[in-house]
Amino acid sequence: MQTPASPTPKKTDRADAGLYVHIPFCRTKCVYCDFNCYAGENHLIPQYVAALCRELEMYGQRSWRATTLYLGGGTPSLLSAGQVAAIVDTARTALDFNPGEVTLEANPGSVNEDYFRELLDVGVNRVSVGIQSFRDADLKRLARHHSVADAVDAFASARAAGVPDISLDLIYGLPEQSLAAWRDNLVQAMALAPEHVSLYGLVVEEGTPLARQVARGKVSPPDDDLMADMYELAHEVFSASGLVRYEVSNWALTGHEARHNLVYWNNEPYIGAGAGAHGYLGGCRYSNELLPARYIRRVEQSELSVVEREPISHNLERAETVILGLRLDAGVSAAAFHARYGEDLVDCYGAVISEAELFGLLEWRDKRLYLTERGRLLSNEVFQRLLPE
Amino acid sequence: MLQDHIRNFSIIAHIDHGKSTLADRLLQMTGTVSDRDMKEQLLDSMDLEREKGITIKARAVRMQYTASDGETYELNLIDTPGHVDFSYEVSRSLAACEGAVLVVDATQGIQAQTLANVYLALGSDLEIIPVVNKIDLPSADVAAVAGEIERVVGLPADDIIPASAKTGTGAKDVLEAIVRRIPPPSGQQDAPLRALIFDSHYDPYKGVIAYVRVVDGQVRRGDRLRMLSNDKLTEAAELGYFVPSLRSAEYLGTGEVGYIATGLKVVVDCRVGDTITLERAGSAEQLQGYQPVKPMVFAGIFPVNGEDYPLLRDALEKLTLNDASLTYEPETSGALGFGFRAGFLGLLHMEIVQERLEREYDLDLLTTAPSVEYQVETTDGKTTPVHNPTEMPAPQRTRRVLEPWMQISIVAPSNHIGTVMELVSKRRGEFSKMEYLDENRVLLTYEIPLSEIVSDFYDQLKSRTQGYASLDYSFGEYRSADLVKLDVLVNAQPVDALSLIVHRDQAYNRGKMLVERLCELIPRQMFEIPVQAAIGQKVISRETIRAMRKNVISKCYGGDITRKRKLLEKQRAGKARMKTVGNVQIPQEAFMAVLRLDGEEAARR
Repeated sequence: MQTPASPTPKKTDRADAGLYVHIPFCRTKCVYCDFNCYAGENHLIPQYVAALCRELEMYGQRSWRATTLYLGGGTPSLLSAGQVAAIVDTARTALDFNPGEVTLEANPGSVNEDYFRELLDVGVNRVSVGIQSFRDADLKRLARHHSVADAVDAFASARAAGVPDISLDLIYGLPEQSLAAWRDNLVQAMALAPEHVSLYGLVVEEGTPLARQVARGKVSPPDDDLMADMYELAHEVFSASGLVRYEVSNWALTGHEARHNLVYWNNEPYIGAGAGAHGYLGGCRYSNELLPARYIRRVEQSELSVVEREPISHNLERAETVILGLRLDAGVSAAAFHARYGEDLVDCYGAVISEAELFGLLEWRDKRLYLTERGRLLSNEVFQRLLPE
Repeated sequence: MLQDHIRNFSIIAHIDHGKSTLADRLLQMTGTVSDRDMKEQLLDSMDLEREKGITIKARAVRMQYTASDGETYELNLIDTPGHVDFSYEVSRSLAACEGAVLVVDATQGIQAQTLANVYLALGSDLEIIPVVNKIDLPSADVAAVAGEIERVVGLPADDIIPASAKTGTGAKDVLEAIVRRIPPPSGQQDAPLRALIFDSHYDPYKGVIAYVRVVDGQVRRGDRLRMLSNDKLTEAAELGYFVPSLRSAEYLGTGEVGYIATGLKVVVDCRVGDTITLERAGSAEQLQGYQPVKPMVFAGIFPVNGEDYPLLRDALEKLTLNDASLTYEPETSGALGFGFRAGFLGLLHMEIVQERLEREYDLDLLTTAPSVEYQVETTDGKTTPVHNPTEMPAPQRTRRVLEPWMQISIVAPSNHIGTVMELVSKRRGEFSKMEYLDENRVLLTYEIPLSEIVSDFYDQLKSRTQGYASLDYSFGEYRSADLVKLDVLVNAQPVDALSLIVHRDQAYNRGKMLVERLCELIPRQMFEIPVQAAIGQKVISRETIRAMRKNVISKCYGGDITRKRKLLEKQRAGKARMKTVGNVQIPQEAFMAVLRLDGEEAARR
């Protein structure tokens, strides 16, 4: 079993992997957020970017090739275009990254048209705007520090600068959010004509301020039925605007699907660089040191900052391939599964599949296995059963 | 020790009134336990006892005390269980004494159970030494409590000793009063041996150890013994007294308290209240008051994981080695699989057994709602005891159903009389009498079906009186009642473990509440689930659990994969803990839902 500390491919030539770079800095911490991000440490950014470049070089020495680059956060748009350039350039030189998809998550309020122009110049070609909601009351409740006007502004700036691919992030199931308010949100989102939309159903994650508010009864937790209605409504509205669902929570104009995210859903390897980033290399899932300062220290000592690694067994990998694959509207092809594992999909999961078919959660079409419309909303029921004991 | 220098006594007190603390002080003052070995609640050795602050098993300790008259006395303290479930054990412990120290909290006054135990002590002709404890507390009202003791128990206020077990104030006076006021034991030294068993426990090396008070004669190590109730023969392999651990000795003389290691294998052969005599030339006369204890409350105990059944059986076997009042027999439930129907003295006993099984034997258990023993007269003229609603004969075969009624007494602040009355009448209780203990507190006496108090009656009583009421109960009689069996159907499948027996007048209400409660407790599943309550074929209530629509991880990117997998595993583990009935997964709490029905109703009001 290879470990990510020495994830050298067997052959001398390079092996493909997606590249995720985590920028753990934020101006403020959002109420629902359980990501690895820190407010008030922005002074560390220059050192942090230098450490990131150093880390990419280390992965390069281990003969990986980056196929996609995704800068997520936190708030990557806190980085200057020059800092983004340093990361993209290092990926090119160290990881043989051929100009492919380069996504940067931008938070409204921290960006303008000039910034987007500079980003385009340094190779960013896709921007994901964390709008979350088109209602100021929602944003306030989530302790996002941008307004709806900021968000619309950010989108318009990216568009004016000529960013070819813009994705919107929307959250549904917010406290007090009605179906009508959600519809209004969707309509406003579609008015911006994004190439891509990601939906995020609010989850009250343990340890977040939101969880405490719910526990104290100050906020009622999202209602499952309402959230199901919201999801269905979103699909209806997006489809009417020509967006095609290609994954359970992602819609895109044909040809504008997020290639980086497809790496995850196809259960392919990806490098996780930066504090708290997760990666999957050499059959092993791993995660990095969480705290930016410690991360910097470790990388400066020329070591990968991996703190946790979990080798994925054959059975688990197989199950994850099916689980992640079912999230895609393309479903899981029995032939592709056989090609990948030398085993028959039905031999492996026949009982689970028939049971789920009985409940109307899964269906076969042309030797591909798909979640049904109902199954999309109840996918956990299928996935639980697919996981090995 | 000369017989006239022996004093045997117990301490009667309500929970938290300071019994264990006073015992600790007496042990310290007599030098029985060195300060170094002193720990709180010394006599309560079970974890559960320390946690709950109650005594479950009786215990004894011998102290040497040199009184102000210059003489040295042997004081035997018999520590009794403090709960009404164990009132028979209490009565036997009291029967082993000539006196009792009555401890009453100076801030709270006499409580229902204390009163019941005082009456037991008075009935056994014990000399009672009243002590008003906690006089160091600012809210102590010594005069008022002393007045109450005088009025209610009839003990002169002049005899009352003010004390603070915590600080030690008055402890010396208590010791002196024990010597002066409690008479020495009066047994016949030259009569054949008669020793009263007031408790026993099982020791894996020595077999059953009987805790005894030698009433007549004496017993020596090696004596051949006979149990009078069952003629079991055995030998006093070892005997001795308590310090409070076991200290072996050559013999126990008339009036002394100690233990006998009998070598018997189960405590059932050595029951509390039985008399031990010598095998040859023994006494034929049983000491008064022996009765085999009968369980009052029954419940199904099932392992959450079916494969733990053998472990549960072993655990119950081991517990009964030590607990003669626990009974069990195998039970098979369509819903819960293989388990046992166990009989308990009362609710606390049930709770203790359940906790001990889970803690000491590391079992994950599902206990059904408790039931009582009904006597069912069938049309063929037979009368059968029924411990389990599922065993109830069909209505057409039933001539008459009898249920146990209890006499209960409640001591409560007088401003809560109305709400207590309301609770009792809602539970089919019948008022007997009301006495004012003082201007603020009343003693209410009722008759009430046991089935009405085995659910959450005590909790309700407590919450309605802001925790001030205390409760005591004892068995009254069997009475005929119009009872019906209420069945619950989940997804059209009868769930036997949810059946209950209710009075016909309450059937509709109970059925409706139970169905509503179950709909809250059973999580939505992939299909719609009707939940119904029925009497025979007739459905009296119905609700539907709508099908689950959403169980989805909305986003799943690189960093989420492992975390989401753990979430899926957690969801799956949660399901594994549920019981699958038909194809519906029912969580454990649902099987106890019936217990909380009235609580729910109260919460909604």
